[in-house]
Amino acid sequence: MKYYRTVFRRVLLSCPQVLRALVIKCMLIIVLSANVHVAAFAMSYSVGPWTENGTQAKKIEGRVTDADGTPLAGVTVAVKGTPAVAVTDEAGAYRIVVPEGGTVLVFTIVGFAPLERVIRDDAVVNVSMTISMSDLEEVVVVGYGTQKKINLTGAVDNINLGDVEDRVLTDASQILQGKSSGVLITQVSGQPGRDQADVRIRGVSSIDNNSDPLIIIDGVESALSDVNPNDIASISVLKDASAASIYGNRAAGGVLIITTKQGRSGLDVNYVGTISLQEPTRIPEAASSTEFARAYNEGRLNSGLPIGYTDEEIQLFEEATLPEYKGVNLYDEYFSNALTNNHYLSARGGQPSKFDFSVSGGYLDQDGILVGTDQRKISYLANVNTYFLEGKLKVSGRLLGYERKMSELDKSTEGILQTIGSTRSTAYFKSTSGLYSYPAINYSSYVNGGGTFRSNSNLKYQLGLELKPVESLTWAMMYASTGNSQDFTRFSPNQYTAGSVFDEDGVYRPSSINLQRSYSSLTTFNSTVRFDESFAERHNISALLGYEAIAFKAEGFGARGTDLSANLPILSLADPASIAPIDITNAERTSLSFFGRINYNYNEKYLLEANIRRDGSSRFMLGKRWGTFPSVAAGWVLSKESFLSSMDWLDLLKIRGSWGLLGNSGIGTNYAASDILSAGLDYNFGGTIVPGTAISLLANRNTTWETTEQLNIGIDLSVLNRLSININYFDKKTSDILARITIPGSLGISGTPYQNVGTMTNKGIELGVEYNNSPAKAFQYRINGNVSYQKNRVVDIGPLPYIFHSAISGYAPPAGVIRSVVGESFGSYFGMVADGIYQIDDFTWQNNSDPSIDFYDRDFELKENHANPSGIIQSPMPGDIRFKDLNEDGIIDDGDQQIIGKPLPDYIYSLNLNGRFKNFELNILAQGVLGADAYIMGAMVTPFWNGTGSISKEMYENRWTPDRPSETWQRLYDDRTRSGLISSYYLQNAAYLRLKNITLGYAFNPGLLRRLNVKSLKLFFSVENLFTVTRLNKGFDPEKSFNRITSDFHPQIRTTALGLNIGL
Amino acid sequence: MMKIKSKILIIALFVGIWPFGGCSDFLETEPMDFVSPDNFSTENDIILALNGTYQALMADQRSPISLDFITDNGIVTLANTGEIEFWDQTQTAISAPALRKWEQNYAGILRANTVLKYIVDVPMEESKQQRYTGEALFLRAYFYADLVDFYGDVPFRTEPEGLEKKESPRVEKSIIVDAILTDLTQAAEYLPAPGTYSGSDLGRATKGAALALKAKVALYHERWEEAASACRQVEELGYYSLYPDFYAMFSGEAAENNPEIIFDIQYMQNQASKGMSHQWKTYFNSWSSYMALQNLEKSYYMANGKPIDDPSSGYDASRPWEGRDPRLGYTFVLPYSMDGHTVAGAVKYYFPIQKRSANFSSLRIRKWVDYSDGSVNSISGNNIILLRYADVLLMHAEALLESANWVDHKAEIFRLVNLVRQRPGIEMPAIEDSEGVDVSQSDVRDIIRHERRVEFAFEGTRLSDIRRWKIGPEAFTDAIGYRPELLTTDENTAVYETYAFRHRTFNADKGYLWPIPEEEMQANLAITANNPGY
Repeated sequence: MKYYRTVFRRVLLSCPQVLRALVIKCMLIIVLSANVHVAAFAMSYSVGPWTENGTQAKKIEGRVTDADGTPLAGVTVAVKGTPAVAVTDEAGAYRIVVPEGGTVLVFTIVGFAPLERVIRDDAVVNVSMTISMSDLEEVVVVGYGTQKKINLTGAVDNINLGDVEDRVLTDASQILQGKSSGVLITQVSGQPGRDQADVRIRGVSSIDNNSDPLIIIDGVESALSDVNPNDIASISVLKDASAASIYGNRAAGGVLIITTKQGRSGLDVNYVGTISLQEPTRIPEAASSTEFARAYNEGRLNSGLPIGYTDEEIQLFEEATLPEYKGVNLYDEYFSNALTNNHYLSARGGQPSKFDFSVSGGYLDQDGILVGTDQRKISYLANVNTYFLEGKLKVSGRLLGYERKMSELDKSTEGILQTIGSTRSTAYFKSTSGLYSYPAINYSSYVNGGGTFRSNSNLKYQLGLELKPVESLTWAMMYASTGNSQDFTRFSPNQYTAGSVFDEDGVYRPSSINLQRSYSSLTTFNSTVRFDESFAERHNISALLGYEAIAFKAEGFGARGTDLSANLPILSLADPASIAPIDITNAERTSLSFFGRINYNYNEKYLLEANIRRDGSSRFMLGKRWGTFPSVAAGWVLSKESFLSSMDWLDLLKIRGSWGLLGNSGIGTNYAASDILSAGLDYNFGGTIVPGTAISLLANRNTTWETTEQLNIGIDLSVLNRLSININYFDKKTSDILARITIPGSLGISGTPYQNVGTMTNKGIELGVEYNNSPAKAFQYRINGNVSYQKNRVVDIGPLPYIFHSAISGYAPPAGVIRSVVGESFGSYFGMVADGIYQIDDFTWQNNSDPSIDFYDRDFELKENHANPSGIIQSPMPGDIRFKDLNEDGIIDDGDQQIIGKPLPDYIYSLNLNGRFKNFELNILAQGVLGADAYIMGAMVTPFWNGTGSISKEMYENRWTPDRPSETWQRLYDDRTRSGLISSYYLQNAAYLRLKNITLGYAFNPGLLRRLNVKSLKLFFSVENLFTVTRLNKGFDPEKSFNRITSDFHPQIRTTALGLNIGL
Repeated sequence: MMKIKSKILIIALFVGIWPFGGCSDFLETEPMDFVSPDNFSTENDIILALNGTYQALMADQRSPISLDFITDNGIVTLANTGEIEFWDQTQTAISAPALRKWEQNYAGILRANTVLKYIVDVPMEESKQQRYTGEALFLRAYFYADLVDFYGDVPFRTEPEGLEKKESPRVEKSIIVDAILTDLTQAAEYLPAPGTYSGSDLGRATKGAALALKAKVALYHERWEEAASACRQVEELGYYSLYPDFYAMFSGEAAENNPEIIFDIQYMQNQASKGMSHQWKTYFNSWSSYMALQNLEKSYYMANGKPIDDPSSGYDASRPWEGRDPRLGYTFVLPYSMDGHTVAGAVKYYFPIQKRSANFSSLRIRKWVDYSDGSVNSISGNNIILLRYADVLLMHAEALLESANWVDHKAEIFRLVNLVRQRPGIEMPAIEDSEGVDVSQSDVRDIIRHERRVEFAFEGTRLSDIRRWKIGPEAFTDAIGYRPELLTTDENTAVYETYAFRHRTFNADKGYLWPIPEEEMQANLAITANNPGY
């Protein structure tokens, strides 16, 4: 102990510079490895039975059952006040050695009321436990501590993780979907390694900056991808200000607190393996080559242009025998079903009050459905705790990390999808000599060894000390350092593409390479003191005080080259013509915080809580740097009042309310207060590159954090031990929103600095309901569902009536489609209002509309009673979209635009069913949203998008023609000037219902397994994204990013998995 | 009991909080990968900032060539670049080209202002300081000249300004023009004579560039005497001459920095990743969205100097490209003419019907593209010429013509125009031989205007000429082309039938000025009114 004490005194008394220095890192590694050694030693020892203090001990054994006599496995049996502990097996049997002085046995298991038995002379103690449905004793992880659920005053959701192990989840963010009310999870892609979901807790509260929640894993700011889903022990969603304000200026988007699994006594070894088949859920279907050729001719005629394919050519496409008339379906060429292997192995164990450990490793091997995409990820976790001074001092070490390799084609996946959607079915993929066509150049690169290769390794090491000098006081200290390194290589080899289907030589395409290497580190140090005491049996007080220092540093460099001499992804400085100047990036930021919390309750009936955090951030100038974020909350457990005590059916009725302030300092720059002079604005004189610089971003010395004020009122109700309901109402107002609003172009800078200008509100109601049938029944089930309603309003954007959001796409339509308008919902869509389709009757033509004139020979004139759209669409014809003349000036023009839709849903809902009958277990999760719009234009949606796009079969079959005058589908046209026309025609209802997961498991009888020395064995069959109900165009997914308004997004995947779960 | 606890509490707090009490600099972080202009201290800082100012010329790599595609020379049907709105005359304050031009020019102005502000405090040789100052003054003048030409009155910022000065009112055009002319006079004094730069300075602004720009600004604002005098000064430098190979001047990098070039944007092949290559080869050769119009094609005379609609010209509508002004073939890729080479070197020819993604006019553009090099694609190094000697000659002629006593200068005007008409390799007939000597002022005006149009087609000057000559109603007319489907792979069966493939009329409400971009109107509250019609 002396050793620890001196070292820590030295460290703590020195400056943070020293903290960041090598000394502490070395010390950490020593302590950590010491821990691991102790644990490893103990592990080998723990395999055999151990005895406590030899002869004086008394042995007790017995069986634990539920009220109906069914054996309960996994019940922890402890001897109160001593380290002795045991766990029941599958038959409910336990055996424990009672150390001297042990007087009471304590039986605990989640879902049942804890039970105590005084130890007498009996050697056999059989007990039956009763269910505690309302989980009132449940402990919930909150910021810098834990709290009993009953005593919570804030809006905190504890995520049920029961079904996680049996699902094929490739990212921890996917756990959250459908699990917590008021939390919108949008998984916008099914691409391996890029399938992380966006998490929005209680809506979007920032304009340009991240609205992401703060993710805390084991006390340290992290990313959800850092942790293997199987390693997660608990997830708490902190939604309101009182729960989150202890995290100050990082917490405006809510907080997710994740803890990883710790060891328990004994030894458990567990393996979970799945093999799964992935297929696209929805993929656009392109028109066939003959359909395309006909459609193209029709579009050309409709636009007054010569046709592109003769009847003979169409006939040849129909026959598809000649090489140049075979046609192609690029979706078939690029997409195929793919396999995923997922393995997870863990060993957990320990000895009470001495040590415990949990080590695990996961391996994910996922091939993508899109050619060239895959991911391999190894993740690992080691949690080791050792106890000294009779358990008063806990030293813990933790390693959490992963290594991941990801690849995709040598163009972004969106770019590939754009290419696929823009390639005509009449094109060719490969020439007769085997060369790929130019549109297939990325495929060709893939075949020749090109692609985008990312490798990423992330390692967090962490040391904790927890000292409990007396029962009511805990001092904890934690140091953690997370290092993340990322390698990015995008390489296209030297190659030849075919100029025509018969081309033998091909056109030379020089190679190119782009290398980016970056490294970042996040160092956290915090120290807390916690005090818990009860007075007069009724006054319960706990208090927390602490501080935290965080330092972030990032560095990186990148280099590009073209026409490499070696046709390999190697960039050598010796390669003369190839190197572009190297880019270097470097940034750091620090924050320092002090925080505190006080909880008081009277007999667990009247609850009070207050939090405060004071944060300083290096991102802001002196004077704007420090912010204070307080919150208060109160709760009243009515069901404990005497006037309700007669109602036996009422387990819990609690009313709670909270108010507080949260901040968001997560802006995209670390140096908002400096003018930035950028290099790389090079020029060339006489054929020599000369370096150049220019101011690229103006300083805004007044930048400060965003402030969110949030009010929450909630009711928790639990009746008959069966049904529990919780309701929250929230009102969230974010002001001083940091937005990069327009600055005058005449300042000479197009980059916009952050300014604190906006105000936005989010209001909503959340409802969660859970029902369990009697646990005594042979068929057990649990249903829980949640639904939330949210309303977002942009209240103010400084001097502006609205701001634009840029779209993410290679072919961005005109600016201003996505905008946040004062009085409307964030990021709404803006454009013309489509009002059906012009029909032939709306027009006149020659000879008093002589019907005998051929359709294509008519000179159509809109009838007088129609507003004139010629400023928007040249020479309107039957089959064109009819726009509303909103300002009723008789002309359809830019003045006839309005907000036409919004991407944020009104309602988020989910339903979760869990049933168990004998050895079978069934889990069903469905989720969806209502009241959201998707804006999707582009290839396969807009006819011949931008002059090159293909068309979908759905469009071909439904398009307006004189013979099939559709009221909803427009005619085909070949006019790229219309491709940018923004209207509600392209707005689609993005409401959906998705059967997210269905899992059927079979657990073998323990009796059968005991002979094999196996504790448990379960087989399961699981399907993700089985089906989706939506009214969206065929082939496109309603779950998409609000600013991806073109159709080039990677489809979601359906995963069908077989799995095995063995416990040893 | 409580006493012990409180003691422990206090000790724990002390141990916990102490380390940060004495370290108030923990939250001070300095930028690590960029510098601020306040730190300028060496000559090299100034050179870098000056190079960055030149770079603003490349900020929109399609500028100024893309401007011809909103005139009667060409059309570009890409929706995303926004030119089509201007072509259609339906442009608004949110049209992309209006913002692009605005931002490009003001970016250049800020950079030039940064050089001009900080150069005074940086020690260096006086001659160097003068040259750098001259370059910055020239560039700032160039950017402001473009602004007043397109937008009229604009905010006038003469030193670097930040967020605290974001409001800046429109200043009357004439005041800005005065300032530009003064700056250019100063720049001409400071800058070295043309031909004195060498090596990695080739392409920097010279005395000639300052004077030629001065002539242009004066001419555009009808200050005829000043314009004529500046032109004369350029000529008197004795350095410039007309380059004998009109075709080579726009095709490839071989003819770069020749004595006709006064100022250009120096592009470099294969430097797309640095933004120093442009893509005219891709746009003109690989894509069809940029189209040349028959409206322009028909205005090229026969080689005998007669317009094609003159019955005595010898024009044969069934073989329309025969016997024409050689500049027609150097400016256009005409049907059945050379369209480049394969990598192997075989000549490719252009057949309109083969281009499925339709060139509606059947006419493509040859200028700025090296059609001999099949391997250069999106990485063209052709310099884009902003000022050349032929322009000075024709500006001089125009300035003399418009001055009160033009008849006195008639011979000089003829000489100047004839120099261009009869430039080596083109050799069109002299005015005296085709139009004759007995011409009115308005005849000569037409001659000069015609000459400008055919000489400078697709060089980005047509729109300014239309504006200053106020010929919108005759210039902003339908797009005329030859029907591509009649131009089959067999030249002998080709039928040249013209048709209008896109309609428009001049929108007099919006006049000639461009809208001040919406962004500027929103964020710069000192601007109260946009140009008429927006």
